[in-house]
Amino acid sequence: MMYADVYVDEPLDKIVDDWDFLAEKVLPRFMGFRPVGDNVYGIRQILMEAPKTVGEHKGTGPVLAVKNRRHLEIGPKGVTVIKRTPLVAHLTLAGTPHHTEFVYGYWHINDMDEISIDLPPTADQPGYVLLIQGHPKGNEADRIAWYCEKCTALVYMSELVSGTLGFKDFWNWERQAVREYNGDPKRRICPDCGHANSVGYAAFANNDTPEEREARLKW
Amino acid sequence: MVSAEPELGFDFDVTGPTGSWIRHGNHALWRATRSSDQPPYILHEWCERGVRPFPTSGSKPVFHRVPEGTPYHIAHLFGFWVANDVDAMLLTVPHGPITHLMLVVGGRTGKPAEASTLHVCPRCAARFGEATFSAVQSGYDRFLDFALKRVRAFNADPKLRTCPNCGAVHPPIYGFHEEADTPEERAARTAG
Repeated sequence: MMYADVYVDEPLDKIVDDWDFLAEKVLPRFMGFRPVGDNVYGIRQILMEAPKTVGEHKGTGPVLAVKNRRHLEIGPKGVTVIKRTPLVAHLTLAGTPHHTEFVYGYWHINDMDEISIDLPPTADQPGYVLLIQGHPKGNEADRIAWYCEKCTALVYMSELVSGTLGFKDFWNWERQAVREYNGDPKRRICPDCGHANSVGYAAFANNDTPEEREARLKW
Repeated sequence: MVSAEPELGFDFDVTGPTGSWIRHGNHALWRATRSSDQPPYILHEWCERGVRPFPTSGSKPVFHRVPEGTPYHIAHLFGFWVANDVDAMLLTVPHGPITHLMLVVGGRTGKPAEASTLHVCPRCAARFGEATFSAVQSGYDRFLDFALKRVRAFNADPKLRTCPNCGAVHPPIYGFHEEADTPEERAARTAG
């Protein structure tokens, strides 16, 4: 090997703490979303389960996920189901509302592109979901929105200017936005067709209210 | 056909054939498949103390981030060193006798915009011969065309290959796309 004579003569783990984000001791740091350099990363080990117990798991171990959960995007033609295949990266481009059933009960709209890739399980360990999204800067923002279940009109939206405020407030803002939306039934009424929409729920199930828990099992 | 509809998203099959770079929005992407009878790619990063090798083969997936501005080189894939103006990420996934790789460069709006090629002396680890390409937004492959021209000039001129620090003469190198190799570049790629 050409550069063997100039290799740094120390074990990698000693000189670069987190050189492999999928390493067992590093992965728990990415259970939520963690900004590192120019991207924001989320990594979860995934175990499949039935919908009735989804979200009950707590801690930093594998996330229990419903096998047939659907990944949805909204575009000019309405709601589109995104087929997810292991080792096929899906890029959700900036501005596209997206939602994953039973995982987060709102539509996320990012000013940055997002890359999602499922890594298949092996004989001795579960699969992973690896999420990479660009790191917002300046006026670039994250938005949480609810669109009418019947006619896809915009019902309610909250914005965090994450490019300026940073990503540290993301989860508090997310929970607050969900609570605001759920807090007044009038906010969930579609301004176009009058449909009364379902309540939302946050990505982390730990603090679900009973009605959020019920919604998590529904959509 | 021209469409007025916005593009919402797209799929990028990591198991697909090795090909050109795809540039969309905030990221440029590339993929490859490596079989067990081929020498494994080895990612190298330059630091003040020398060169760090990062394994890209084994029984488990590995996901590694190369920070913006850090010179890196992947033995058997490209024989020059690259420094990007934005982070790069390398995902390697072993799958039976083959390993799938995905290389991603990006994460900030408007980047990658610039990329540099340089060389690292295999005797003293000094950096030399750095040149910057400023039109990466027109396509990552255009940067690689620029890099290949520099590879060929480097191989053709022993003066360009001589380390300004220790005087060692760097061996010949190779470009990114194997199918464009000259016999000399192919031998260099095999040697790593």
